[in-house]
Order: sequence, then C-alpha cells, then structure tokens
Amino acid sequence: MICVIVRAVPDLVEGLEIEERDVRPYRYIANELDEYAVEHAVSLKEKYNERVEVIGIASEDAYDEIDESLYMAIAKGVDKAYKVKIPKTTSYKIADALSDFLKKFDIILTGTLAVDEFYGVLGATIADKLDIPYVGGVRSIEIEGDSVIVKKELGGGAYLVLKVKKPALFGILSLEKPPRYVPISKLRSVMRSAEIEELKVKVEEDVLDVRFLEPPKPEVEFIDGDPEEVAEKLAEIIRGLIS
Amino acid sequence: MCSGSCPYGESLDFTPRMLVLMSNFGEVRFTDTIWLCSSCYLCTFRCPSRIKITDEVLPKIREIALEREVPEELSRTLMNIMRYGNPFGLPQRERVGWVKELEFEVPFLEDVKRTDVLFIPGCYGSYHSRCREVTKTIARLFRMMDLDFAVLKGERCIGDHCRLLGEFGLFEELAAKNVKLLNRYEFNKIVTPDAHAFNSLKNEYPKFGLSANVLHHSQFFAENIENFEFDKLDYKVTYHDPCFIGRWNGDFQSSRIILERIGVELVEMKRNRENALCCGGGGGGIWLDSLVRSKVKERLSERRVREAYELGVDVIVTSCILDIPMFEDAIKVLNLDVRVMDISEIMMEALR
Repeated sequence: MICVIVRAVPDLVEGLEIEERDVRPYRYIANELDEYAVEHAVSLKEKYNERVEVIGIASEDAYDEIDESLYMAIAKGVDKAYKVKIPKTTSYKIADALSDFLKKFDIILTGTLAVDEFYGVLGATIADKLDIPYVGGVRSIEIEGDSVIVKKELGGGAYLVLKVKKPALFGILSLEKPPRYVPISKLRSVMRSAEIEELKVKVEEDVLDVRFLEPPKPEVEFIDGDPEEVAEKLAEIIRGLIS
Repeated sequence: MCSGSCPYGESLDFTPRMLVLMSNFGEVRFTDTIWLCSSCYLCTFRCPSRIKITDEVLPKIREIALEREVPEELSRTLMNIMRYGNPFGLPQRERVGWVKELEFEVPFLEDVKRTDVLFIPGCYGSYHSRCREVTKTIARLFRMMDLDFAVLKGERCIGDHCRLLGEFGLFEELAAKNVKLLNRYEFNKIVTPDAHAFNSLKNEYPKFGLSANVLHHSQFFAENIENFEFDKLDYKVTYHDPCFIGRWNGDFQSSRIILERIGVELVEMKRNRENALCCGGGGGGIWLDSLVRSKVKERLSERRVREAYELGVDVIVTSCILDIPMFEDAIKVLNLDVRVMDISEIMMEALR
C-alpha cells in the first residue's frame, strides 16, 4: 500500500504579507513536488494495481485550502484521502505525530523539499522515526517483488539506480512525463461524491528536536541606484572578496 | 469543403470531415493534431450543411481528449486559469497593474458602482507586456473623448479559449463568476479589445445571465470617429481581419472605416474579409506553440505576415489583441521589416 504526504505551502504567486515577526501568505496551495509524488503514486497504481492513499498536512489557516488538491488526487486515481491539522512546527515534530499513521504503508512518497522547507528533511526524519530507508531526489520508481527500484538524480544529467527493500520512503524531485490534467467538471463531481477523512494526531510539545545548527544570518546590505551604479558597487564588493 | 479549407489541413492526422464522420459513428480516434485547430471558423463558415465544427464537434472531441493526454504547455495553462483566473499564472491583483502606468487615474467599477463604458482588457490586455501597451492606448483614447469609463479589479479570464478547447466545466465556472460580478454593477456598454472575450461576452455569456451591450473596441471607435481629428499618416498598411470579429461576428467594416478616416493607403491581402487567414492564436493555439511547431512546416502567423509583407506595406494593422504577439513573433522568426499595430495604436499615432 502506498501513501503520499501532501503539504499545504504558501502560494508564492499570490505573494506574502511580511510582518515584523511573521510571514503571512495570502493563500495556500499544495507543494508542487508533493503533487509530483501523487503523480508517481497514481502511475504505480496503474502499473502494479497498488492501493494509494494520500494524507494532506495543513496548519489551521491552510486547512480548507488543502481540500482542492486532495480532491484533485482522488480525481487522478487515489483511493482514499485523509487530512490532518498540524500547527506550523519543525519536521521532527511532524514526523513524530504522523509515524503511527504511516506505519501500515510499505511505500511512502513525498516531495524531496517544499517551498517553505528547503532543507528537505521531512522525508528523512519520518523515515528515521519509522526506522525505514529513505532516498531523496527521486525521479522514477518501479516495484520488483518486495523491493523498489528508484532512479535518484545526481545533477548534471547523472543519476543513480538503487534497489531498496520495502518498506521505504522516497522524496520525489521530478516527473518523467507531464502531470495529468483533471478537467474541472470531473474535479467538481469528485468533490460532490468523495469524502476526505479528518485525522486527529497529537503533536507532542516536549519531543526533543534534532539539534539544528543554523549559521548566523549574514549582514544584508541593499544597493540602490541605477543599474550602472549598482553594477559598479557590486563589482567592487566582489573584487574585495576575491583579492 | 471543410477539409479543403482548413489552413492546417495538410498537418492533420484526421481532417475536419473525418472528425465529423467519426463523431457521427461514435468512434473517434485520438491524435494530438486535434490540438492544432485554431478556431478560425473557415470550415464551419463554408460548410454547406451548417455543421458547427469549430464550436461543437471539435471541442467535444477535445473534451474527451482532455481526460487522456494533454500537452504539457496546455495543462499548465489551464491549471493557471483554474487557480489564478489567468493563463499566465500571475496574481489577480496584478491584473489592473497597467492602470498605475498611466498619467491619469482610471476608476474601478468596484468603487464607483456605475459607469457608462465598462472596459474589459482581457487577460492578454491586462498581463502581456506588449498587449498592455494597447490597453493603455485605448484608455488614453477614452480619456481624450472625455468618456466615463471604468475597469474591474475582479475580472477573471473570460474563458473563450477554454470553451474551444473542450474545457466546458472551466468555461462555465469562469462565466458564472464573471456574470455574477458584472451583474452587481451598472454600466451602459462593455468595450473590449480582445476578440475572444468579445465573442464570448456577446454570444455565450447571455446563456449565463448577462444582458449587456458588448462592443469590440474597433466598433466603439468607428461609432465615435467624429470625436477625433486625425493628421493624415503617410503609411501603406494592410488590415488583418481577426476570425472572431470578421468571419464569426460579421464585422469587416469597423476597422476599415477608421483606417479610411485616418487616410492611410490601405491595400488588401489576397485572403481578406471572410477568407482571411487565421493568425493561429485562437482555440488555445497561442498556448500551444511547441506542439504546433512540431507538427507544421510554417505557422499560420508566419504565412500571414509573409502574405502581408509581400504587399510591401509598412504596417500590418489588426484589431485582435492576440494577433500582436502572434505576428510580432512571426516577424522575428522570419526576420522581416514590418510593424504590427492595433487599430487603436494607429489612431493614436495619427493624433500626434
């Protein structure tokens, strides 16, 4: 059985409202790479007749907005959708909260990273919690008996082929063919007939976070002026750095 | 008749006639050349049996194809329209961004509630950098007329391409939303420079509850031509009849009235009026350039600008906003030396 984790993330098209201590998005959408993971899961269903379930994670203010993407996943062929409300927190706490639910699946897919989580640690943290292997940067998946064969991108056109024993968790980075299109009439009819099951999980506050070493934030300087002036100043700074 | 007329006929796996026959027998075979149709209406216009090939047969085949395999460029565009209300995937608040680039203020209908002319620039006129210049030119001409006009912040894609692409669900949703918004306010007429928006607002939106007097900007300016004093322009121009203004809505005159009034030398292309060659942008063609390029030897836009160029003109004048990027791109591809202007732009040039 396959599970896909889909996160609600800020919609960068609509922009963000930046306040002193907080960044507030105008709107949320599903993380693009997580949607790619849904595509891979649906392909696996078509090829190997695997059951596919999807779980949407959203904070309080994105809780309704994740629905569309979950219904879209059902319209694409996913068998069951869940959603769970998890406040904005660290990947380690999310992993801790979800691990019980995810135990029963033998293939778990999610995006390698998310627009609000560039470190790409959620997949690895969940895998660690479940004590199963994790491979990130995946672009294709095939099932062979009790193993999974994946291609992992290495950059520069190179890739690695890995054979991994199930259960395992994979971070998806890209697609081999363009995403399926769901006509809006089909989406609306799924919205009328299908149901999203709401899950309740406990997010433990006293779970020990993985120590997270963040380098000190560098001084930021804004260079004003017309392009020529800016280029001049920039060149001077770079000259200073390389000499 | 239809198959012989189709401008992309030689590149199609199944000609319009074959598609009509296949749908009659309920056995349609799908190929990606069904996405080539740019909704020029030549087949439908000439059909002696009056079969609605462009409006019904093809979109219905496309509707089924949408659930199978959709070209990536198209699926992204349709997703953008679904999510953001425009094909570019740009934020809604940017739609009226062009207003800030003007030297005067344009009121929003949401604020003033009533106006004489509601100006709907459409997605290209609102977001596309070259088309925005046309939108601003039209706003300036309105201003010169002392016209009481306003624009809508909440306007979304009018959806004519979605309908022609067989995405009926999306079209209906867009139309319902737009009509709901439009019916909240008072205005005497709608003016739009987008030939597709014009067509849908005029012929399709009434089914969704819109009863408004819809004018294309060329028609509006032709009606109000007495308001302008033009200096004679020493240009040799040709006029391209947009499919959705000419062939499909029967207006071949408005732009020609304006050009005559300006006093330019107008030479006609061989294929003019109801026989005009399409620019290739309609029916979603403007979003499918990679697919079109892989299927045809020469794009329709390239054939059309070549046809115009051979007349030795300085300017190709058109009145459909999609033609401008289509033709300007073709001119770059062919490395020709000819300008493309909207009818409003040549009016503005004659005023200075």
